[in-house]
Amino acid sequence: MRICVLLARGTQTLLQQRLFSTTATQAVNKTALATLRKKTGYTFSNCKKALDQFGDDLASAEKWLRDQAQKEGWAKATKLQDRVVSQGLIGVRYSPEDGTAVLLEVNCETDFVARNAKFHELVNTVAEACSRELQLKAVDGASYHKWSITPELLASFKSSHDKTLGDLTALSIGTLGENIVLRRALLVKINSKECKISGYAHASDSLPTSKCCYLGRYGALVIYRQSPPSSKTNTATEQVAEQAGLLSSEDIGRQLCQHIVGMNPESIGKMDDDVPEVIVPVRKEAVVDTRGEGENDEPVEEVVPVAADDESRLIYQEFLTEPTMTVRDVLEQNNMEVLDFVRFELGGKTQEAEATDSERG
Amino acid sequence: MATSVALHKFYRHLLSKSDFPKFISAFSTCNVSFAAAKNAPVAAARAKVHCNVGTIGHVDHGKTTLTAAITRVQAKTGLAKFVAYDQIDKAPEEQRRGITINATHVEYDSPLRHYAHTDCPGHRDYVKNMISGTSQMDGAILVVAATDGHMPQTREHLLLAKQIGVSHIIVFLNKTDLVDLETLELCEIEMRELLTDYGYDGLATPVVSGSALKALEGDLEAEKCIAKLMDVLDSYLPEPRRDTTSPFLFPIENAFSVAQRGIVAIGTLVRGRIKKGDSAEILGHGSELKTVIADVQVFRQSVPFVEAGQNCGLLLRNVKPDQLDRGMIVCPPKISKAYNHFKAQLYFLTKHEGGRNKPVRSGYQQQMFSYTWNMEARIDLRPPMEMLMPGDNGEVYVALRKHMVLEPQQRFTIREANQSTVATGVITSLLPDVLVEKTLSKVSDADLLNEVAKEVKTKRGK
Ligand SMILES: Nc1nc2c(ncn2[C@@H]2O[C@H](COP(=O)(O)OP(=O)(O)OP(=O)(O)O)[C@@H](O)[C@H]2O)c(=O)[nH]1
Ligand SMILES: [Mg+2]
Repeated sequence: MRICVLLARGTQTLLQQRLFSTTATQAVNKTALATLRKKTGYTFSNCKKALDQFGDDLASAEKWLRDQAQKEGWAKATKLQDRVVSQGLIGVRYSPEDGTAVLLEVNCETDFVARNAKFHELVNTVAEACSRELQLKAVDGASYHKWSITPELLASFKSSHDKTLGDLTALSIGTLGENIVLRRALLVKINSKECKISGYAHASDSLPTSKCCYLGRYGALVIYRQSPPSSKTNTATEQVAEQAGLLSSEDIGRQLCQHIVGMNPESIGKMDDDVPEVIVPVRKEAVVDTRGEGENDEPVEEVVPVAADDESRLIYQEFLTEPTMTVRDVLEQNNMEVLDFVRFELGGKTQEAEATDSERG
Repeated sequence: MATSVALHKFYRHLLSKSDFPKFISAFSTCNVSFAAAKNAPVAAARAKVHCNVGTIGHVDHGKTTLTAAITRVQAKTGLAKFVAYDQIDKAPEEQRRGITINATHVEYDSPLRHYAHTDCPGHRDYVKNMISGTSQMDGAILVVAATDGHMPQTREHLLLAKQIGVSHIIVFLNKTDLVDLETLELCEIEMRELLTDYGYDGLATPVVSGSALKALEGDLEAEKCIAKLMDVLDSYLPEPRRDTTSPFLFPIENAFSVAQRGIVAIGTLVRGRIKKGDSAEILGHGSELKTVIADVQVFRQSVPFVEAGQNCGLLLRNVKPDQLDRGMIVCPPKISKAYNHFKAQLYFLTKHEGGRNKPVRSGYQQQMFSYTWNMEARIDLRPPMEMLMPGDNGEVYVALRKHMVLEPQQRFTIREANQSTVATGVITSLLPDVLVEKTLSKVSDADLLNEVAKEVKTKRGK
């Protein structure tokens, strides 16, 4: 507060100094300019244009500015469209109840903008609009459906305020002053009786995550099926199950997503057909003493089962949360089966080649 | 830097052979090369006080134009080499890649100081620089186009400046050739308000206005704003602390016995000044020794004292050869302390930068390197963070197998078995000891979590 007064006083002295060289009307205009800018947040030059047209009629000036914003946003969007957008956010929104999930990417030019609340709001709105679209879609007897949405189609989706996402993006370009692009979205709907869905977004900065949309630089969705526990459990697996039993299937779903983000598998891998983990001799790596005092110089030659370091099949990778197990072990223990997964990385390749409407059942 | 790294390797190489006469000769050879480097003209030019500055601000508000304009104007009086606009964004690919290579590629002088100037494109670039310490900024020039005023994300610029520890901000109101005085004044008032909102001294912050473009184009009137900006940089940014006045810190690179005289420790004095006869402590690797500096040697000659940056040998009294180890720190009594637990900001290098390709979770164990030492370290992420991907930075807890001398702002790296650096970090605060029995795997999570809980509580208490 005190500072405000000081600042106000500063303004006054500045104004007084200026009075010698400017006429009274200009001083009034200046206050109007300050008010308008503060109220709308539009650039000084635009506020000035508005005042030039409407004089001291602030209400009309403001209305004109807001109308203008969208037009300008589009103009600016056109002007900025060649600029490289390599930053931005991945948004993940999923609802186990509705059996719907959305994975999307919105790009901007700098990560400063990606950290701005207005940008977060845009990503949220896009996710919300996608969810609304999903409500109109049907699974038609399959276990689940995936829809890959082109940027053009995405821009035509409507937000709850009945504006298209394209219009909203243009408005954001106007206020944030950077090129912004709705890059891709993937929509999923499942038949909740047959399978489950889980999602996760990874960010190292603490990004505000609203309940319904997670934000980050990576995101993943996993569709899985869980059958009731089989009766033929032996004591060993029972014990492990007991440990694992602390986790609900939702927790494991989330951990699987986190694993997919972290370990970047390319395919699921088949439970039966593929050769299971390879048995290879490894040098058991003691913590290396670089002072070279020689305590650990003798490597222990041991034969232990390991997942190959570059294993790209999900189920044969070591599980991120519990590296002593493979994903397959975890799935078997929990009577789970992964049906499908999707991973988005900021600036990653879009799956243009992938069919727009793929289906499995 | 390059010299000291080379020295380092050289010593190590020789020490692996660990044969006494050779070692002595290495000692003198190294000192010769050190002296040569010191007398080079480059070093002489660096006699001016050195400051790191950088430009931050909205896309297109003129950061790069201003940077180019400064070098152009300063070049007129021989204080800089002109760097054209299109040369600034064009850092060579190798420079962009490695994290160790300084992002700074523009430098200029004022009559009083030497400035290294960073023009990073994004938030992550600045944070990465802050953590690796490649260019700790002494001050930032916030560039704002007066045609626009500050933009919604200018708050991110100010938060960033706070986060990377920039204590002084200078505002440059750009593009004044396109606005009238009224707008310019409003823009200034608005900026002062904003700075105050973000905890800076908004009233005292210098605001310079001008046209970077005109100054770059050689408009004499416009060039005045650059002169003004240089004045403000000189007067508003505090002089970086001179290293020779702080308590000395001498990490031991190696030690050997000299017949009839005692133990000589070799290393480079990181800061401060050591005199013959000073009493000192030797800390690290879990031990604590008291000693007196019986002699200080440079070029195998006794000297009365050495100052920061000098490579020297210290003759230590009351110490036995088997008590010393590489990485121990010689420091004044009761100034430094050894710890085994601390909090840090850590940045994991991307695969592209030579780092890992897989994420890291709590309980990650590797070797930590700082000054001349390395030690087994265990890293735990700060909840609720569950993993850090290559390219991420985050707050972590680090536990060491043995106590080492640590202090806030100390830089370190984490290397994996194949010697490749996978992370760089900076210590943010020191924590009470954790009990380490034999291995770090046994450090109980409960112990670590306690620390987190305590901290959360004290924060809430405030
Ligand atoms: N009229 C006018 N134009 C300017 C001035 N300073 C910069 N510009 C123009 O503004 C545009 C952006 O300038 P840059 O220096 O590239 O801005 P930047 O802040 O480095 O932008 P990014 O690196 O993209 O974030 C260029 O077209 C400049 O010519 C100025 O003082 N007056
Ligand atoms: Mg630039």
